[in-house]
Amino acid sequence: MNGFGFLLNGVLAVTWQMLLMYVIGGLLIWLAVKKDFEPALLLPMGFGAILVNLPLSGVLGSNGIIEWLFQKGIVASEAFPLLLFVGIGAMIDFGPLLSNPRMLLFGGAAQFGIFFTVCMAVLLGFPLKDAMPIGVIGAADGPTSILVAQLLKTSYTGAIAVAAYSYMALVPLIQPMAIRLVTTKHERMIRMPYNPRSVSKTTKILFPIIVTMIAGLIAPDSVALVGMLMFGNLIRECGKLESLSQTAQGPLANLITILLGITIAFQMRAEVFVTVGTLVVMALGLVAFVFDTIGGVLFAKVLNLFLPADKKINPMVGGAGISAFPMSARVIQKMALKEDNQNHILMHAVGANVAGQIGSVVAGGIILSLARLWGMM
Amino acid sequence: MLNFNLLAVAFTSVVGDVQSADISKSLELMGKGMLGIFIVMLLIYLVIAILNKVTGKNEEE
Repeated sequence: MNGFGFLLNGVLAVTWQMLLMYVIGGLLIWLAVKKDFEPALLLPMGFGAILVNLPLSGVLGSNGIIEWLFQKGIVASEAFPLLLFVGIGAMIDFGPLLSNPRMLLFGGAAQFGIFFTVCMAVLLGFPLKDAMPIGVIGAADGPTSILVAQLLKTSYTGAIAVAAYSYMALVPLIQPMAIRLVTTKHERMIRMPYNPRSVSKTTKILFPIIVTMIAGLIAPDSVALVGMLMFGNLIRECGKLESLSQTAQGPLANLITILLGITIAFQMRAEVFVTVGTLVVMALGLVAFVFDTIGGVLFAKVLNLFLPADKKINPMVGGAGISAFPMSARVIQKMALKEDNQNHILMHAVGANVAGQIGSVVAGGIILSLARLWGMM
Repeated sequence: MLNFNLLAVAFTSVVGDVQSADISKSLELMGKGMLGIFIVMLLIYLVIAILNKVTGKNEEE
């Protein structure tokens, strides 16, 4: 029997931390399948968490596929999150924002939670280079969170990715709770007439080019994120590349999503994931989401102080200035209808929501620019 | 006045030592970050307004 001892090598090498990771992997798969929480990302991440925590796993090491994907697709070039942005850009219609550009302000205000959470993380003892990507969880923007985490070389990339995608799926639960905390029923019932201006094709084509130039010139580190997002959008709006636009929205985004989820699982190895820090990162991610929403809502309330009675903004629209598109806009519309079944603010919320897409990548870029200035990368 | 040294003692056991230099940098990040985002957003707002005005007029013609 001694000759068969090698069959037990793997079993004997299992640690309690690995067992915990199998449970976490199973939980992510359950959330994806049973609860429909961002299944495209949480399912590959859950399976990957099990895969990389098998003892002597063949997917790790210099010849391991997961480690190779991580080194080539994320460490070497950030290719996966950036290419995913091409697909996302091709999916977004900036029309509601272009016809109502004041919604851009909410895309800026609703990034407050990012910076608030960075301060909280630092107060809890995280070094600034870890605190910055932890704050970016609040952007509700998985690829940006992963990119910033990786460029700042934090050891919490796995936890940050799990938090970003899990909370994004929980937007329908988190946002109503945060919004009710800082608004009255009367404010939630404010009606906003929607009289969209028509937007010319020229504007739709020039918009992604000019935004890339502005963001690139002011925050050069955001140019990869903004540039890929706007490149995807230009393909969509130019009107000559319908086939490429469909490919970017469908097959490209799907392929990258499959690879990104399972590749990020490389950072879910027990030795880097099972720490007190991971639990604190998850808690801080929730803080970031809540304060992003609150930041947008309070900004709308401040604006209302200066607006005439017939031009008041429903403050819930400010809460839609995060990047979780279109989920956040839908949540806001649902809340508005709950208070007043004739109150239709969806298109305003969609405008704020797409502004949040721009705001989150600009926030990520500004954080990277300051990190570079402070010699952290 | 907030005593950052006391905070350092209180939170050392959670995830590590609190660096008082990081606290001031995180506040600086908040100020510069929010200001930077609003500057970018306002510039984009202006660009959209100009584009809507110019291209809208052209299409009417």
